[in-house]
Amino acid sequence: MGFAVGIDLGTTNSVVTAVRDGVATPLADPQGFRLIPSVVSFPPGGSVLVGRGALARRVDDPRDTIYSVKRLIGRPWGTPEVQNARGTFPFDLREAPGGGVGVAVHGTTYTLPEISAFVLRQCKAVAEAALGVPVHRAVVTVPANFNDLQRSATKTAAALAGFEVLRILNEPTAAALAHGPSGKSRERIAIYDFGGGTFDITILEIAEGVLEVLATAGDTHLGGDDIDAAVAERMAEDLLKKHKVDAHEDARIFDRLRVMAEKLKRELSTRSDAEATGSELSTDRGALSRWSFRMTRQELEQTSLGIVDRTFTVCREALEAAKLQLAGVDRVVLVGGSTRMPLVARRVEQSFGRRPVARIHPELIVALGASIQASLLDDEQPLTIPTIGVDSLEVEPHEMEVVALPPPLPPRPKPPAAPSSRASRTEGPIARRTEAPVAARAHEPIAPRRPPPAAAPAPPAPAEVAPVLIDVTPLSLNVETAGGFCSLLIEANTPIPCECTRTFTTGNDGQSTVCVRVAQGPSQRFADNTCLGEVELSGIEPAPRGTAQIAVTFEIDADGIMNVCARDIKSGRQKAARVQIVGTPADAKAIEAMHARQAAHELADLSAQPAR
Amino acid sequence: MPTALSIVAMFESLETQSYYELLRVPRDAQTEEIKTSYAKLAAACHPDAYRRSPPEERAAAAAVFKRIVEAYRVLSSADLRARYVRALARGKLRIDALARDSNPPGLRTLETLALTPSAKQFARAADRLLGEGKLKEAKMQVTLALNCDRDNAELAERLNMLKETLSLMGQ
Repeated sequence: MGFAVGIDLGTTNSVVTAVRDGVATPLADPQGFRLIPSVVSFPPGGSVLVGRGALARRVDDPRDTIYSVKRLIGRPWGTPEVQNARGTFPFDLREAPGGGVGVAVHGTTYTLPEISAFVLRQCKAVAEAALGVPVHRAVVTVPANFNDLQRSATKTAAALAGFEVLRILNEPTAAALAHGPSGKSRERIAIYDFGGGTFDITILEIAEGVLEVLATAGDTHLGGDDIDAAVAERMAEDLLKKHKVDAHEDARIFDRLRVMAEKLKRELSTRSDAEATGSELSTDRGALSRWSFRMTRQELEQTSLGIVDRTFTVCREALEAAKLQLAGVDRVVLVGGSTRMPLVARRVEQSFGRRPVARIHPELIVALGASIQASLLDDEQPLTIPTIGVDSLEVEPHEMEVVALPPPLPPRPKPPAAPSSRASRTEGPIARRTEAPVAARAHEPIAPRRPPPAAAPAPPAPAEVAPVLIDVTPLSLNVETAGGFCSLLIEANTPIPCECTRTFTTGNDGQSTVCVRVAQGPSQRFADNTCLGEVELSGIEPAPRGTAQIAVTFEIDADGIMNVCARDIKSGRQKAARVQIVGTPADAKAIEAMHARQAAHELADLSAQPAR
Repeated sequence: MPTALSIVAMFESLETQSYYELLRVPRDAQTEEIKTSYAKLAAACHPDAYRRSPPEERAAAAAVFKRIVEAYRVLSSADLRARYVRALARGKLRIDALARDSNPPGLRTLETLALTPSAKQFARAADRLLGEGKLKEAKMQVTLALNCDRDNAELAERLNMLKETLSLMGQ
């Protein structure tokens, strides 16, 4: 029996988790690390380094060491995000065939899904080593605001890595799933996700297992990296003052300072002062190696306050969009490594007027939610409702004490006294669902039994016990109309899967092809949204203009990915429309080439990873 | 008690049921009641709940789920529900919630945006040309309309959108 794993494919780090014996557990590599840096390096010789081994090469071999792929994956080459990024990365970004982004390494151009596939292969190798069995199925998370192109590209990456993708899951949904139900029938949760490079705030309402995204907002260039840079800046000033060395003149020195700053910042999360020494900076510059830099937590907080407070501008934006007051939020859940800074938790508390929940390790929570979803969706795992492993809970005792645990879960209501004809499954699926995703933890008291629900027409009982969390599509789906405007097909926040059927016709006599451009985004102007591509309806029977009728069904599946099919209403001919999507290679040949490039590279052995 | 079979039964009766019947609420149900019933049904009929079932049951669940979401969308909005009541009286069991939005608010016709009679005349011509995809010609008519309606900011905004679109198309 294989395992289905959950993977948080992050901008900075990735995490792979699995549900073992009903407990969601992060999987560690042989050196004991659970965070896999999302960095891929191509040293000479054909094998590929991923993770800490690749991170170590970032300074020495910047051209062949690729990071932060998630910022650009699924974005068409011509978009401002890609064009602005070109100058900021030391590696060689190129336009890939099909209009997406590629990166050239040693004369070969890899598309970004291929780079992410290496990271996912590493996750797979870590999981297989930890579990001792092959792993083929996965749930992979993406940010809530990822559009169809970004989701499809992520799915392609997972397929290239040899995974059957059970679900592309929204990160805030995964975090909510890991956090478990509150026992309240309706609850509003703010997921405050402050990672290495990005900040996202999502406000969800969960009622009876049906999830609604009330608002989501983010800043794609705001994260712990900015704090590292600010600290590195202070270190550079000190270096200039004491040793007359200008770190800004040597990118390699500044890069080292940034790495040292990150380490210093981490240490200051648990200590009140820390020191960085010149020996980490250089071994060959004599005087420099005697340099040392001390910082207190207070100084770090002064340096980073401005950066941290930028997150609250984004939060206010989301609250306004959700038409909510701060008091309307029942729980704030911390996600992402940067929330481990005491300053962040404190400012969140001051800002939201309530203590945030940080019961589960903020760097693991998304991946844990993904593995819970994976085990619920997996055919090969026994139907149990997973819990979170103790080793993923935050262990500092003071935190354990102050953090409010969610109120106890309602017990499974007893089936109402039933006629004997009822099958053994008569216990309503709803009852199972309310206690669903992460069921009662062992240490939680059992609540008094609720009266059974009033008799109502019973919904169909699913064939198996299967807790369900219903997700939504984050963006509106539109088709282009005359004059460059949009006609709405599917509204943002519609529960998925969903679909919309529209009838199209020809504009000229005898026309045999109709093209429809599709875009995702909130604007009524087509050009302001993200164009997903063009649906070409071909082989229309010749007819006077306006008489042909082609019904086109646009579906958004449970992964949030668009599928299109078309039917000629007159002839009744059911024929999938040829859909050409920009940014992702649609043809089998391109995919085959991608597979071949994966096969050409072995991953470096896990035991070769640095121990620190 | 319905069993696994009933999702297929629900699927087969989809085309004969009103949104009220689908959501299992009376026609005078309050929004809260509709929401509660919807949440239960949506969870019970979500294709994930049929993950381990035969493909035909999964497909049936997907179709039922989508229709339940459609029903909820209509019945949970006062405007759409009123429209639905009228449609139901004419014997229609479904409405396209977005159909009236093909000219969404804020994208009203140019004619309605124009204020003076002469501007309306040009705007009407522009609407017709836009419908035919003749953007350049439409731009000319909007420009003329704006000459009559000098302070019409909405019309000016539409002209700018049109110009942008044309420049994007390289014209």
